Amino acid sequence: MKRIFKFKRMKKFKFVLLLSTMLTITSINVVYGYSLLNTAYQYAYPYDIQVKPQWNNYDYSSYFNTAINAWNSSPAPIWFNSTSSPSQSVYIRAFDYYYGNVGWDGRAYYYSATCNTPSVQLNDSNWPFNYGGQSNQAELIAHELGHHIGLNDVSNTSVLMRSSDYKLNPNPTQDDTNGVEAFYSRIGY
Amino acid sequence: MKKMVMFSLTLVLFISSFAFTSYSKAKVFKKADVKLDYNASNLSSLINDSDYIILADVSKDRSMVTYGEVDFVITNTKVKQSLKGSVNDKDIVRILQTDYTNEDPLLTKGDTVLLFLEKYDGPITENAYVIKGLYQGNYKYSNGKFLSGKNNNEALSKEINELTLDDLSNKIKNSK
Repeated sequence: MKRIFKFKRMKKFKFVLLLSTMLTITSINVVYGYSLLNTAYQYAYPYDIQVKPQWNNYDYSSYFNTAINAWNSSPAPIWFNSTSSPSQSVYIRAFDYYYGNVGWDGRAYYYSATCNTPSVQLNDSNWPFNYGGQSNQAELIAHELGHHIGLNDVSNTSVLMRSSDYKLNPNPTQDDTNGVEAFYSRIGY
Repeated sequence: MKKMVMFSLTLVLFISSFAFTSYSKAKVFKKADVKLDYNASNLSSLINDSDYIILADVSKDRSMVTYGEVDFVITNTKVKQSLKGSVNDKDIVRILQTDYTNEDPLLTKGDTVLLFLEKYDGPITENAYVIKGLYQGNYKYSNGKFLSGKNNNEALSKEINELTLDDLSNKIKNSK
């Protein structure tokens, strides 16, 4: 009788163990929806990532500031500083040109030994990127800055780093900030 | 003297291998990601939104253009079969792509490709075409199968990968 009881308890324990393992796996998939750009440059001072705007055809300043504030007010372990005279040797340039219908609204170009500086490039040909009469430039700039802090595009349509379409919201989601945290945890931040 | 020569040779070998490694690394890290201006909800919408659809051979003729601090690549392709639009078989079609860009994988010479296109309208070059939705409109064709590269649009990729050329041709005809 005692043995049967023990056997039943053992079975129950195994079932609970299996269930909790499955739940853990499911929750991991939900939490870690971000994707990291392994080739992205890791800034030595992530709390002082300097960005130099140089607008050519349109003044994107207000959208640019909104995008920077969106990242700075998030829990991501980074801080963007907009400056006209960067003091860091590696800084991001943000500029715009008319490129025509090349298929993209904005582009993030990463640091490498052969290019002068990383940059955020906006395509004026798609200006004003209106979605239902509202501007999506701030979201676009926040998305491109996201690439510079280690985030890859994802197919999940609810996050800032989705590869296309807009939600008219420049604020990074928990998924996005978790990704940045994972990227910078590699160097102890 | 012999020692001197050996030392110089070793030094030259060391420096050249170091330079080669640095050059290779530098090339790897020259990368960009873009926010697409178009998202195909499915194959039917990609067909409808593309002005031209072609099956073409990628030639070795390729030129580079830098405009607005961005590098672009123009690749010549020879049309094998025009599936949609006023492009004729055997025409040479110039494809404009953005270099170093993950979402716009460059056409590889010698490949046969299925391309969903629209006419390029902009300051970089004339008489060129761009790929609709970048990777969404670019498929390698090999052994009767369409193969997609990097594709965040998994549903679209799956839909195209399951088709034969005849299936696709019929789908395009029916969509007109």
